[in-house]
Amino acid sequence: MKFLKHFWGLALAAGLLYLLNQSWGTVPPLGKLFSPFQGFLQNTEQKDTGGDLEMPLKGLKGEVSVRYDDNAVPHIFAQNDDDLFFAQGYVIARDRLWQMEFYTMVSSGRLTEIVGERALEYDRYNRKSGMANSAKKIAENLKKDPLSSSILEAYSAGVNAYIAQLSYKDLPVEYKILNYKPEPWSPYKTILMLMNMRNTLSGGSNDYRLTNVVSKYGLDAVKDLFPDYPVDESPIIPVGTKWEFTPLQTPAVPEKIMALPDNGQVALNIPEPRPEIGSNNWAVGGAKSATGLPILANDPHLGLSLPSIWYQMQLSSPNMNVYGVALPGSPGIVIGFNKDVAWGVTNVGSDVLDFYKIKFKDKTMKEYWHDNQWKKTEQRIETFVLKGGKVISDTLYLTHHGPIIYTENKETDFNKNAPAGHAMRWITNETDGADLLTFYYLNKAKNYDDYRKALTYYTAPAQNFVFSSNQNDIAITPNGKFPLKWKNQGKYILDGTLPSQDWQGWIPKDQNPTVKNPPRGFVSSANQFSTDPTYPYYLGWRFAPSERGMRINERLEAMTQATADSLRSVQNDNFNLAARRILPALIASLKKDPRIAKYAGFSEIENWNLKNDAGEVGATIFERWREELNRAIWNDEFSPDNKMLYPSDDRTFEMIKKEPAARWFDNQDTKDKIETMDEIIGYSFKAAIDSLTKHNGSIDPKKWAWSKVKSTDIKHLVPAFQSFSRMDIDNGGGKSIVNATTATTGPSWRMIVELDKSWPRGYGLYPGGQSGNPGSIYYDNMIDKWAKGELNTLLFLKNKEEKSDKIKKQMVLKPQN
Amino acid sequence: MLYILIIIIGGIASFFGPWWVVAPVCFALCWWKAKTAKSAFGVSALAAVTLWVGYSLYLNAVSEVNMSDKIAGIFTGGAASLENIPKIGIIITIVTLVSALSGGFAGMAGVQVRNFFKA
Repeated sequence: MKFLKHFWGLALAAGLLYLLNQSWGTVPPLGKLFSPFQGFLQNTEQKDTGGDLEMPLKGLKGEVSVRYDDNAVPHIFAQNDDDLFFAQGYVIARDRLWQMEFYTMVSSGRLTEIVGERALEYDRYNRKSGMANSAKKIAENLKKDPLSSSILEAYSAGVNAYIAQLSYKDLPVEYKILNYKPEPWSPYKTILMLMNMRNTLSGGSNDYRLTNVVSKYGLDAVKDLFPDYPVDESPIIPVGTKWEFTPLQTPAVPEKIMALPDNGQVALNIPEPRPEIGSNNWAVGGAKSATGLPILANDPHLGLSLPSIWYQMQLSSPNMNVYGVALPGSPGIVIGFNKDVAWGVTNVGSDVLDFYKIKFKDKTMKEYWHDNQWKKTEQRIETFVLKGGKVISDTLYLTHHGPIIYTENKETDFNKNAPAGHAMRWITNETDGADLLTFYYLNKAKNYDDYRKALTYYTAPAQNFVFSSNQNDIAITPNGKFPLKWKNQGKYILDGTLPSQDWQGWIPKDQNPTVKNPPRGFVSSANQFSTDPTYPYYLGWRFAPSERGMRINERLEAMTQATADSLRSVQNDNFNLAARRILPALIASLKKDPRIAKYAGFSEIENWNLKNDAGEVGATIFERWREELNRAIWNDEFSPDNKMLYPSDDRTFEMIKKEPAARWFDNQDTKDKIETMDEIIGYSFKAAIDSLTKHNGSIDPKKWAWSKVKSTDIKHLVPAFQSFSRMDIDNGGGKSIVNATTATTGPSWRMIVELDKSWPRGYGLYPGGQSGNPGSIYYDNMIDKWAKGELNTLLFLKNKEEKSDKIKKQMVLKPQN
Repeated sequence: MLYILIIIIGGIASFFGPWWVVAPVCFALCWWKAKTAKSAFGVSALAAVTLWVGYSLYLNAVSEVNMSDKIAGIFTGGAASLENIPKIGIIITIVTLVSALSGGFAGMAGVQVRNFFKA
């Protein structure tokens, strides 16, 4: 009793400290986080007074000078390549450590360790799809290549040198809030980071949705509504370009081209391809430019996030001197320029993700039928550690196609006692090649031949690599590893029992489509079809809508005496090509009913200038109307709720213009009435206005302005951290607009480079800032300028000694014994 | 005196030690100096709050970006009822509670445990 009297206070104090040191559910550890000596207040930054910093680091061979400019961009000068990549890793980690590790946790399916059970399903899918396993194999393979290995090891050592310096109070604030610590970096983690890009850019599929359409409406309807090439298109390789190679024999189309579902529909849970995650790039040749030398532009569109996906830097060693943007976690510059050349990328979006219906022998799923025999599946146990320590395991089954991504415990026509499985064949799980060497060789490229050589190392995600040099060459190449397919192979779910349905090999890389110095004087891409149908190989049946590409091409076609500024105006072009194509027909249809001309919004849409500028009400009405129109025409037959998809806008517009009596216009949900096209158009217009009125009040230029309704948000990578996000950015654009800014996606880096015989001029910025720390002024300092469509002049130093007013401080990294 | 000692020694220890180091400092100094458990709680809590809140306000004042607002935003989420409370108020309330309780109870325990051994 006496003991209790004297010790309850101590027990209480100790218990309290324990409680405040832990996180509880979503509540962070309050003691640690709110201590001004250790917690988030240690992440605040005081005004930088400049000055030099010296940093002794183990693992460096020589001294490295890191000069920071007024936008916090590091310019790294090293005496050899190992030190260069070491310093790159060190410097990026200083600004973006939490972010780069977070990406690796996503692709390796380990988010549950940070955020708990709510990420379990997401993690499960990412584990099943095999990214972590393939990353391991790629990292193993690259160990055997001395160059890749030295770059990756040096970069990792640099990141780890930074991690080793950190105590709790120095950790990025996200670690403190979510209560965990960074793990050591490794080449494997760099590959995981790149896996994330493969997933983002090639991880969607419509195979099962389209298979459901065939199952319900038959193959002829699909051929009619989901054709293999659009009516309006301006492919990346200009029509008429000669294919200068002898193609391989393409596999013949087999009798059976798909595996139909057993019970009417398949319900895989696979994300759709995301056409809004596309990009623009182009290069105009000297004949079109004011300087007589090429100008190159690139703006990759990705999910807008804070911290930003890109990090600006200059890398300089005796072997190279290059400026551009890097992906945090990955060595080298991905999009950029050096003294002689500039290059950029957009996503290709060919069909590199297919599904195979698998016939299992029995419930154990240990054997599956292929090529008239039972073959063994491989099994792997995946364990998921939840935040708090609980462990969950899952068995993963692998076939020669790839992992079983989905099983269905219902009766099937394959086997009444076994689940129907679907295996995934995905380019992301190809483990050859060395994507990072493509960027390494581009970083030091001097001419067109160097560019062509660099591309041969690349696997995925396939990119349209645009190129220009100060020798007055321009070129573009949809490049990557492409499966050799029969026509339409993988448009639908394939039959996993038949060898004819396997991927049949690869298109030789030197036969990937490419064009150099075309007669029209420019090259460009915006994720549209790589080629017209004359290309001897099948790449896919659907690419991003053609509007952005067509608009870029008509602007460049008309351009003479181009400058960086005229190309900047193309990057910010808000003209709505879809509206130009279809709006006259829609308005003519509305006018047939005199009552609609009096409807709110009609005069706004009729007098709209067809631009998706920030203040336009017409753009707001058109974009909403377009959604309502699609829904009104297609939702009764092809509802996403029934695991199907709508035909493309291209097909829809063509039907409105040429087939007004098509049976698809009738709304199947109204039993005793047959709707005409005009009725559907009128109904959808009213629905659009009503929905806008409901959400924004009655029509008003302020509340209905396009930027207000579109409402672009740049969110922190943890969506719950809304106060680390920038919401409601005031800008124009749209999903099939050259300035492709939507609610959550947009130009993630805009760059323009004027090539020059003596020294190039680069311009660029991205919607964020160099620092990943929400407590830094460099966290989001470029956003306002980005929203206005302006660019920064990039400081590209000739050498370490070059003086510049823009250099604000220097950090010297010194070898430590 | 005890109040000043906790601030000085606790302050120095906090720069080097873990976040909870102010608690053992209160415990030890109260064992040595405090008269009653009650006064030990009061002085320790007050000193710890002075230290933590004082340093918090200083860091908040000299920083270029208002991190307190951002952190408070994560806690309040979109809760409309908390919209009107100044964000720094939320932060200072939590800092006060954490430091007062950890310092106060540790100081009190110092006197209690001393009395156990001296009785």
